[in-house]
Amino acid sequence: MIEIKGLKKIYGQGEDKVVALDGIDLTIKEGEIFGIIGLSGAGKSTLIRCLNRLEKPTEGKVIVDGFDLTKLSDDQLRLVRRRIGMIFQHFNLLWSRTVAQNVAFPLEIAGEKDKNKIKKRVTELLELVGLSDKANAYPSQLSGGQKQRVGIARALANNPKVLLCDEATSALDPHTTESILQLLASINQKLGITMVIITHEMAVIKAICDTVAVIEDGKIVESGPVLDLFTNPHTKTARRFITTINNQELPEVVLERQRASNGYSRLIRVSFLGPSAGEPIISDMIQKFNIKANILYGNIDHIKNSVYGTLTLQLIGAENDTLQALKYLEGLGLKVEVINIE
Amino acid sequence: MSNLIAQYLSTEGLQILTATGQTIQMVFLSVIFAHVFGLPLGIILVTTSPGHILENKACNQVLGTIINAARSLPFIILLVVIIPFTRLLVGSSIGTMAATVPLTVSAIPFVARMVETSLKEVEWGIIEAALAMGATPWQIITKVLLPESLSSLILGATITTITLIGYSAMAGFVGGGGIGDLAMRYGYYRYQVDILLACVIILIVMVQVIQMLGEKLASIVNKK
Repeated sequence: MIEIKGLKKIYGQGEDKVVALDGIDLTIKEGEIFGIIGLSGAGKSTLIRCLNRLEKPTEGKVIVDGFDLTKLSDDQLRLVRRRIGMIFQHFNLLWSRTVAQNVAFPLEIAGEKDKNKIKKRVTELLELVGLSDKANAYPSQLSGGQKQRVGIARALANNPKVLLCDEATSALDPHTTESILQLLASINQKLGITMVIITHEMAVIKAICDTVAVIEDGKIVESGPVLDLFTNPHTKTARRFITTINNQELPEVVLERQRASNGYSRLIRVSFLGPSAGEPIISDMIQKFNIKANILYGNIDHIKNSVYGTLTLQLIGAENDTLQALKYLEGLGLKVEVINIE
Repeated sequence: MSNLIAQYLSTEGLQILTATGQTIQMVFLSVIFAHVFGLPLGIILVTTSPGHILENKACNQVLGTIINAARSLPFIILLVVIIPFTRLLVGSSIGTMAATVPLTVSAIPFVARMVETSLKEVEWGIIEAALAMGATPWQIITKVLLPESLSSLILGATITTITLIGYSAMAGFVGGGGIGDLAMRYGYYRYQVDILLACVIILIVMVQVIQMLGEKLASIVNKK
């Protein structure tokens, strides 16, 4: 649905030049929710703005629904933009229009003159986002979450193929964020619309995204299914993002205690996915090999119906037995990481 | 017309009434005409500015310079300088209508700057949202910029109106009449303090009422 090839965006010239995007390649499949996560200044906002050419790329191709945005004339671009909805961090509603008039706005822009048609579509959309009772209210009378619902209804008015979400929940409290994300997920299910979500919050990615790309200094440093990123992050940036919602760092006290303990011991972190989460692997291991296991930390979570978890263990026993135990775990398809050896 | 009536019935009260009518006529007409020309100029000033929807550096700078030049010309000089133009336009260089021309001309650049300030208050995010929907520059001007800044435009027009009431006092130079002129001729030159006082009170009331109406109207249309 969206293909980005060698995308570069450079601001300014000569010595003042700032490279905001430095060769981005991405493919976003039809119907998926694609998350792009990065810290502020990483270039994520510039990237999403290139997807409807609010920012003009310096180099590269941006193909949305078959149209190469970089090659379109202004008139063609306007037509293509109607197929791409967008919602914003600060909602950007028209203050002078009621909720219903705000939702009708893109229909007017698209040249719809039939008042009855507009009214029917607006009613439909307000029902979809659960704001039917607020049709005649002004944006200033709404809460942040309600404003974003209006934003979503407005973005969907012209039946877009793609919905771009630029930090859509960053100005909302956690509870409202959750309800907006649920709404987006249900719209994705119902309408099969492709969504691109820009965020700096890992919780947003975890809650609704299928695929994620991590952006840093204008480059995509890691991308793939969300579950893979959580269970097997390759970059430090990705790991740091995961830590923000799932802290696996062991407290210093635990490490101290381990250092102080006598005998040979190892700290290991086992990650498990799906079915193996339900089996008594650890107790099997203890019975098979002559070692003891001390559970220091464990958690279990799920992403889009997949269960995954991590367990941090201290293995105490002879070196040979321990190594065999590790091999046994790896043989079962678990990911085993040795944290430190004493 | 109102001048004629005044000649036949020259009681002081009627003179004041006539002068008030002249002031209202001059100010009202020039505010309207100044907006007819000033509003588009203000829109051009904003939309051609760097990074805006119709960015055009040359146009923006040329227009800005002309507006600044026009604004730096003192009104009393403008009044005289454009007499040939006034004659061409209204057929005479004296009278209330003749005074309306320089008032309008002096107010156009003023209104353009007022409009510019108001339109600049519209958050860029809202314009960007409209762009993202595929809006044309014309749609953005008519459906976003103007409605969103309406309240501010009304307040600007209120300021323009009150400023023009002040300027209209100088209309006496071209026989424009009006309340300010009456205050000068009878109250000041002839030491008729009662007329002077009446004129001042009328001006104060006029300014108060306009300010109040402007604010009221602005707050009605302001939904922010």
